[in-house]
Amino acid sequence: MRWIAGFRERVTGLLFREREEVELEEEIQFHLEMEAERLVREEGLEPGEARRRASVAFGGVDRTIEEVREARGLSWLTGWWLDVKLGLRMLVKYPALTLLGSLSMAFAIFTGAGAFELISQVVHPTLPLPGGDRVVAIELWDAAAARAERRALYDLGVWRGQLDAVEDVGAFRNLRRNLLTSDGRVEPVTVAAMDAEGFRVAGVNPLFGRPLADDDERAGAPPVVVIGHDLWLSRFGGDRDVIGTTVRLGQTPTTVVGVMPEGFGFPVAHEIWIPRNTAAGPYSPREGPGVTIFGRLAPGASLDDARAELRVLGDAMAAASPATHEHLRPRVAPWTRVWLGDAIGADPTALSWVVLTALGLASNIPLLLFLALICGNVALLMFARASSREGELVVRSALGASRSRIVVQLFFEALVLASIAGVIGLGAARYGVTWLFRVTETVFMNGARLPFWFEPGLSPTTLVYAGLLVILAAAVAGIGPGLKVTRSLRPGLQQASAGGGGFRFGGVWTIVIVLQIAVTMVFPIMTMLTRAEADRKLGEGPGLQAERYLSTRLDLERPADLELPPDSTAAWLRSNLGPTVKRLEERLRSEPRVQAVTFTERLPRESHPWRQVELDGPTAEPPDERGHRLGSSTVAVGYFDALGAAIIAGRGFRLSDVVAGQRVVVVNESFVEDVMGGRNPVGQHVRYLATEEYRNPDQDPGPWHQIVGVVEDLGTISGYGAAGMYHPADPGDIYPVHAVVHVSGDPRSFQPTFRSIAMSVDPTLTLHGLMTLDEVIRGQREFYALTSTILAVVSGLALLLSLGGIFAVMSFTVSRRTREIGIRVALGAPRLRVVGAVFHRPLTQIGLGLLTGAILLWPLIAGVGGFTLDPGQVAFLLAYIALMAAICLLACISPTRRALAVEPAEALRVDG
Amino acid sequence: MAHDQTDLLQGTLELLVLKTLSFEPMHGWGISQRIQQMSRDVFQVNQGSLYPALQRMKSKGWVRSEWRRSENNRRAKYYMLTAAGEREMARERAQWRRSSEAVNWVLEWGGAFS
Repeated sequence: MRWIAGFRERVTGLLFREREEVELEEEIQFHLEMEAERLVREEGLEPGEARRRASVAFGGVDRTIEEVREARGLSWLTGWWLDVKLGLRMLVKYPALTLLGSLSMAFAIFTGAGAFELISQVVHPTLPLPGGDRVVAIELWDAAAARAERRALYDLGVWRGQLDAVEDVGAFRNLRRNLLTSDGRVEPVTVAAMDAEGFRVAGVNPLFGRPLADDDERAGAPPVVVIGHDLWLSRFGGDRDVIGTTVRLGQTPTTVVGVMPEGFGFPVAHEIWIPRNTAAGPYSPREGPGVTIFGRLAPGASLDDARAELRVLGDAMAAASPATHEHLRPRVAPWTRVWLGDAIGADPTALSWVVLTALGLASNIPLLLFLALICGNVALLMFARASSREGELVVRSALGASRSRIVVQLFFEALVLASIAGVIGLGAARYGVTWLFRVTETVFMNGARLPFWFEPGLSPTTLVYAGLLVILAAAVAGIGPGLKVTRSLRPGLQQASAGGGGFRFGGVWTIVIVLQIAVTMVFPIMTMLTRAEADRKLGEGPGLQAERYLSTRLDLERPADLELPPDSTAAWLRSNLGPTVKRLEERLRSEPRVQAVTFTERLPRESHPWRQVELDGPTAEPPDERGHRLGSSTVAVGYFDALGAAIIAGRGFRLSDVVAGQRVVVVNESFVEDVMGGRNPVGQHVRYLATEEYRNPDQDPGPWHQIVGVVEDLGTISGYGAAGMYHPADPGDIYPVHAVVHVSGDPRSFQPTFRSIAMSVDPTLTLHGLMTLDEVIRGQREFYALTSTILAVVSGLALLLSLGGIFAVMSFTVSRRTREIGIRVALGAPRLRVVGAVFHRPLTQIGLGLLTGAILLWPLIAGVGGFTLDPGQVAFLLAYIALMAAICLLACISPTRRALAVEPAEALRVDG
Repeated sequence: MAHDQTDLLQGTLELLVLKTLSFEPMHGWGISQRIQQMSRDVFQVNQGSLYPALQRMKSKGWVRSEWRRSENNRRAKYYMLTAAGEREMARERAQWRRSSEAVNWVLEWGGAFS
């Protein structure tokens, strides 16, 4: 109960602070008057003398008031507004510190909050649906093959009939279909062929119209479709009369029956829903198309209940049908986990990229080190500043301010700084997360969308977390130096009167300074190398005029029931897509505006899969023990001509090269540079290696290919430099296949024609990402440009901050010794020796810092890790080291000169 | 100051205040006077230090306060014991007795064995 009384006291004190203050003064006044009256009455003193004696007996009134406030636990609050005002004034008074401190704290908060948001969205996603945490996925796990068995329609029937812990069990399939609207536009959309249960599980009502119903799944029911909000706006102009209209989805005229509200994308990232085709069933075990199964935990049932029930059902099934189900066991998990597998057809590499980024941010040791250094540096600056206010603090202490009072004041000053940093950092984090999601979709998922539960922006939890970071930053930067400074206040009081300083930078600070110097060496170099790498990746092929080309990935709508192993799917696509691609090529060539048509597996500067290669002749030294790696693409024979890429040596591809058994390749300029070390590759032979990093470790090396020509770089980005290699193929044999069309005039105006040609060639042909080639590249370019810009800004900031900190601290340390220098000189010590003594410590710190930096940089300088420094970079590094040493020395020289110039007598009077 | 006056032992001030208030509600000056009288002027209460102590005890819920008219008809803040305060006094008294007995024992008898 005691804490309740205490809490009530505090709240009353907080709410009626002014009244309490007035009452306290009145109470003390009453006390003094009573005591004075007593002295007059009992000791016969004059009233004036009695009041004086009463006041003496009482002790300091102000001090008592201060102590009562402290006893109330409110002292920190009573002066908080004053502290905030003082903090603001300090920000204006020390603009350099404000700029350096707030920017660096902002960066720390940006990183912390951004990483927190990403991690919570990726690792602990919440489904933005009513009771979203009760939505589950059920899958059949094939223990023998260590993968999910998606042909689970037979089991779905069993679960629907027998599961009590999960209700509304249903399934969906992912389909890509062309959507033809009344305005004549044809664009592919991601369709969920979903059971009506899906809408019940999601628990979200349509904006208008109706959701899918059980009756829609009946054989012979009229085809219906529910559309998503974005699609409704973009393709139907937000028209409410869309209900009842007919659109063509794939080959089927379909009636629109409902529109879902904004943000709804259940099951994953869907924008259009049709009933799942159930007419073809029922299926035997492990037959039928692959599906993903969802459900909702029944009221009162837990995930463990569902697991237990499914375990029993799974065992029973295995016993009943050992031929198919011996190794199959049903598993249940929260819905958002589905995406962590590749069950829903999303690109798993994109997912792992997001996960790795998030985890990378969280566990990136250099980054954490960097953050710690930033905080340390801010603390260092705050300490130096607090120390420079020694006089003020000593006086405050002498006037009765307690140690905690002074620490609280310094904390508030830091809090003001950190709050400004928090606002900047959160703004940047919000922008950063939104940007990262957009980049993930456009660059890494080729325009596919992230699951609907990824929401750009920051969650309230993240805001709270950032608030805690602000307080933590203020504590590190305010309380740490505050405690350190106030510890030496008492001796400071004596020394202040004697004209000397009481504050000293201890061993911890020396370590901070040394690391600071080391880091300022490492970061610019790392940035420089990253930047050079990015520039190399973005290097423009001189001949490629990307804005003149239209490009698109070609695919076919697959029959709803087609479910084949991946290699058979590829075979199916080849035999079906190939002829279509050839017909499309013919039709496009007959268009008057079309100047060239070509096909490729990967677009220029799109991400290419990398492979390791070996040559039968001499090569350059490989960058590391993993050998030479490059990006490769299969292209149509006229590819280089169509893109206007110059053949530098040898020849381009000929039609005779695509005959079976003819293994010829063309390499790019970077291949000559990186792999051949400048030698002529034409006539040499190259083959792919199967490495432990590749899928089949035991696979034999592939056949030898003869290099017949060298083409200028078009951008075969593989993550391992710019070396690239091209294989020739008939357009019908390339998969995945992109069409690249060179048209006269603005290519964008050709888009509708392109679509209608594709439609007339084959209505099931889907065009993914039809845009100009420079639009495709723009996402990549933006990504690399922004990444390297962020790195440059961060490094610049670190540099500025560290140099500022080092300068301030060194200058401060030397100026503390003014008095000592003066006395030494007065006593006749040679000036040179005095200077040597003064410089000893800063020079040691600089030396240790440079040494540590060199040790950290050694892997880079020695070329380990794939980087080598060219002479220009070495010169830059040396110049930079010289500059930094000069800045450090400058910080010492100026106060030393000042100290040497003072008169000995004056030195004795110097205060701090 | 006479030699027989002693600075109040740390912590005992609160016990004395509790004891004082167990007779009747009292204002701050009255408490300081009463403690001095009760201790037959042995304890010199630093009058100013009384108020932070009262505030601490209020925060702990041992005493509460209200404004009343004083004996000379002036507005004064009176403090009174709460139930928690009474329990605390009993506890502190018992503890005080134990420790003072121990000290006495050492002083009176401890020497007999040396």
